[in-house]
Amino acid sequence: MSDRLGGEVGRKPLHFFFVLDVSGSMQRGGRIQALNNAIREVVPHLRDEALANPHAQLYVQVLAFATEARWVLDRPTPIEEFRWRGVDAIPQGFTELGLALRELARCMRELAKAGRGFPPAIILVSDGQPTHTAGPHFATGLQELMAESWGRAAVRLALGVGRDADMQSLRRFVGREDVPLVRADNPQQLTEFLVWASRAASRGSSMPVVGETGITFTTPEVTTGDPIWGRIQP
Amino acid sequence: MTSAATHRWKAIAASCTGASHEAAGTANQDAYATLAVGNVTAVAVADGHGHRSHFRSRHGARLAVDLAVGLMAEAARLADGPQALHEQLHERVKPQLLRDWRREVLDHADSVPFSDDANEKLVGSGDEAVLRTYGTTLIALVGTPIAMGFAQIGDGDAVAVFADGEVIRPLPEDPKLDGIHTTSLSQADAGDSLRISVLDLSGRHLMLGLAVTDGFAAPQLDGVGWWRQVGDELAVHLQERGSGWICEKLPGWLAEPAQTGGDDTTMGLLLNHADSLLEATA
Repeated sequence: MSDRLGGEVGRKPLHFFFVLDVSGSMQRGGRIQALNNAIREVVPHLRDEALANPHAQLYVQVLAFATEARWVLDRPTPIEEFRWRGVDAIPQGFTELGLALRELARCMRELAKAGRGFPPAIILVSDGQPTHTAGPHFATGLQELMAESWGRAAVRLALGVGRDADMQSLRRFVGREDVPLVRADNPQQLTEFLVWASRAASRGSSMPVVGETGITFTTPEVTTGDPIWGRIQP
Repeated sequence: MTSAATHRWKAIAASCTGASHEAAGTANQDAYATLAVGNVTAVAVADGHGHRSHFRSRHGARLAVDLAVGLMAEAARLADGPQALHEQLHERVKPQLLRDWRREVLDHADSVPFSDDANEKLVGSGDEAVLRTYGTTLIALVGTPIAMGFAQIGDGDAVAVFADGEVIRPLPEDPKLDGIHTTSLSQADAGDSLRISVLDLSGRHLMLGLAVTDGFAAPQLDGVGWWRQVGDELAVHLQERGSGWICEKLPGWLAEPAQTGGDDTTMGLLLNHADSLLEATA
């Protein structure tokens, strides 16, 4: 007879979402290449985080949005198996963030049905103003995300890329004034901020939560360097 | 089938420190208590919140279970039937539990002041801020010859197993519990989140009642139906091996979830004497 009471047990899933702006403007100044490099840099850090937390199984999913929102990686993939092949920017693609958030809301609903896991972690990267040419307004998408209990509970971080990033919308996505909101003005900053955000979100998500989240975030170190994305683009 | 009048209860409970707490060198923040008075038996489990801002939660959990078994047992002794027990739990136990827990927490905080530790110095002023540091969940069961009463605030699970094979969760669901957040004895409106239920056993044979902290459920791969399997298995164990065997095995059963999930794991049981093979034949 088994020495276990009940069924099998396993590590609690921690779902990690990258939500990436691949609009046309991401083609400028090597932003999309820098973003792809930054995600490759993040992977070993996330693996380290996973190793340091033997009670969580970290899964990655990637959602890209321009005129449409599409899953680059829709299957929750264990971080140990995650390989980043890169994503291309969509020429003349808009910034339909509302559409991406609506899709995330749908995903949060599915997670809630499964009923187990740490609060998800969502990292949003965007370089522009949200548009709503085909999909819902940003505010509508955000409202739909926040209508889901797992969307509300998610640890949400955001990175702006370059001077045109709409930091006000990104702040609304993050939701908390005390959570650092960062803007990268060159590839090095983008990598450093993405590493910071990934580690912070991973740690924040795998903490117990009582009532409203009591997680505190330390502001990342800001490196200098040529702010090539901070200047007016030709 | 055993007659209703033969419902006599044996309480057992155990707790296992979560692996993440072991690794961090922190104490088990769960607590349990049992109490038998005459033909009334109570068991309670509590899960002190793990976040560092609730650094007194293990004391909160201890105070909660000690109060709960005393109040539940007293209410059951005064009640002459399931309906009376229901009224006692609602009208007497609920307000008194919340009032006494708050008073005892504040007394404890007075007698053991917060230290100069940076975390403890951050506690705001006022009773509510102090109470939050002791935050805990609570699940309490009381068994009488003709009823079993349940009270719960926060996450974790209460389960009942009938002799006819039905396994139920007798308490109403709390919409505030979304699998991530929990309600707490320490919240100002705790009364709104304290759920109560009573099973009438005058026409039905109950084999056992179970209370378990969320450290057990969280790592279950079958996140939806695990409790039915646990209830079924306990009923079989009770009939085939007896309550003594379950008592012996319980700490070991809690070890795997506590190790895998990392959280403290505590289970309390009220087992029907009549269903325990070894006791029935002793």
